[in-house]
Amino acid sequence: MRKNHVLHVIKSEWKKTRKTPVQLVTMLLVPLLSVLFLSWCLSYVNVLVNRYKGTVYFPEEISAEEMEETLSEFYPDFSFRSGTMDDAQTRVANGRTDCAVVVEEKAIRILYDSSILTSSAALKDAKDLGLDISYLLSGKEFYDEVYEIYPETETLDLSTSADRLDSYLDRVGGVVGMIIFLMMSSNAMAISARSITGEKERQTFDTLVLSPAKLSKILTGKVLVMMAEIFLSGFVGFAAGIAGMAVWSPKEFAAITDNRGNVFVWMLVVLAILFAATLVITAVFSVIGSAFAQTKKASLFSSAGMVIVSVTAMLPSFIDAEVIRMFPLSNWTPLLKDLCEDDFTFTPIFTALAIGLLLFGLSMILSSALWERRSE
Amino acid sequence: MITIEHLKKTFKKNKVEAVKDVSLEIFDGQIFALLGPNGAGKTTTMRMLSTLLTPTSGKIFFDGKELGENEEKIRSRIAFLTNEIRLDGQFTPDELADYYGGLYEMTSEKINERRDELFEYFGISEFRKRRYDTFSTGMKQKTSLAICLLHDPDTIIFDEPTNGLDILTQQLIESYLLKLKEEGKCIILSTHILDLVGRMADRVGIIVDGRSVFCGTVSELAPSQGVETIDQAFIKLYKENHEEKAIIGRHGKE
Repeated sequence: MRKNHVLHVIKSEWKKTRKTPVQLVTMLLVPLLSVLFLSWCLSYVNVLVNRYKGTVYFPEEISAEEMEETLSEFYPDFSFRSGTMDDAQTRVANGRTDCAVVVEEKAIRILYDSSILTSSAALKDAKDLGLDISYLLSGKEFYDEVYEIYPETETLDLSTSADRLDSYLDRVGGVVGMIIFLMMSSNAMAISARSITGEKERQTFDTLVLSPAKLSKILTGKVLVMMAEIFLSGFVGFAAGIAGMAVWSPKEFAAITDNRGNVFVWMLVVLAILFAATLVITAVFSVIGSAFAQTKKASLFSSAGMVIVSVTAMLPSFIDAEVIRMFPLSNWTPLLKDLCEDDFTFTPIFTALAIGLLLFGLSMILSSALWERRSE
Repeated sequence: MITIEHLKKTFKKNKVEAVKDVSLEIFDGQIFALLGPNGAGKTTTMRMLSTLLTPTSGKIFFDGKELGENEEKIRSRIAFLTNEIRLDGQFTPDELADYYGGLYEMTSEKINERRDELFEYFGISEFRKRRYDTFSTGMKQKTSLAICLLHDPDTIIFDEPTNGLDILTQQLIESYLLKLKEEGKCIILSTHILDLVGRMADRVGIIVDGRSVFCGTVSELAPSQGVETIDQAFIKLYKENHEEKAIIGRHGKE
């Protein structure tokens, strides 16, 4: 029976990985630290966003008690009372409420103190609450006018445009997610640079090439083991980070939910996408980089690749709408569409993943040619 | 039997014509010594023979079959060992045997049988669980030799196999090469030790400046050049052919 060389290389190379605990610990350190940082950010922000006081003011003709009965279950941080814009301004100014929703005849105005960290969460809820009130009252156009009136209602000089203010949580999560992605990529590239090219430099690769096993099979086996190392380091790092967050602030951890469902599921989705992107990029750079005879050159190549990937990944954050238009990922599948429209953080990752897959395909085609050129 | 016809290798990157025209005939059951000064093209020729490099032109036949078309099959019958090729230091000899044996599609029983035999012969048995990178130079060379011979190859290509080794290890390797010769294997040795050639080789090929300038039996070498020893014949051939190159070079024909 013909032996499966890929499996054999994986099995043999894995023995080597097992024997390098220091290497594994180093690999674990980067994602572990970054995830601990992420968990700290999330738990810190969550503590803040869950603690605010909101007040809704209704005109005399609307019963605040009736509205409270209907809405207090969904908005426990808000109190409901009768009052005007003047009452709201006074109450926000003297710090007795962090956010005020003022219902007027043709508009719902939102006032909040943007200087405090809870403001973004309060604003997010206030907008939802305003929308619900508008449905309960006279009609959709009632709420729509909020945005037209809102920027002009900066009486306390503390308000910020709702359009410009993203969720604080999302913003922090996105940035840290990107940092982790980049850190994992650099970690992965460092591993790939020293792996095959390092072996070639140490002249241990020729012995493998001399065997009757096909070069592509040896490379595939080695790259898969390398990817497993990276996956292991990343996965353990993430798991430790999530566990750390659960232990650190269990109440907040349990309370974090958003429109994507349970935070645990959400983090697993992020994890899977980060891994997929990182692993594909690693595979690309390992295969292409393996054509280089020196680790120095392979590292240089990986660094250049890193810059390209970083720019590709970062660019959409600055010009998100334009990039969505340039890379119409939202047309792909309903799942991607949801993810892309829901959070632009995904766009760069998907873009990098798509480019990575394309490069991987090309690199597999080119690898034999590159190797041939090396032998020249 | 290996036949090499007008082998040429040009490294495009640095435009070096490492091998210009090499033609040799190497027979089974013999030790063939490949001689030449440093930079003559011996290692490049051996790397082409072992399939690590593709020739720019020329042909190599193993038992009448051309190398290019049957590379995978031929590669499974070759062993190539040089000081430049090393084994992965993180493995133990036992693990290396499993790894390389598997790549050559050997069964576990066959691997164990060959491993025991070779490790015993080269005195590696008691170190079989130790990492390769903790070994001395001699022990590394013996382990490399054992691993590259594991699949019982028909053709063994050694580039300076005893270079830098102590006399005991040299003798051990030399006697094993003679054993392989008796078994009918085809052995190609590249060496600078002319004494070794006189003691062990049946045939000899000399390369000067990328060209084969002699291919014949060891006993023919000295008489063919009108001298008494291998050393004298080698120096004469080198001077004649190297000077020729210098003259051509001066006339700008290179």
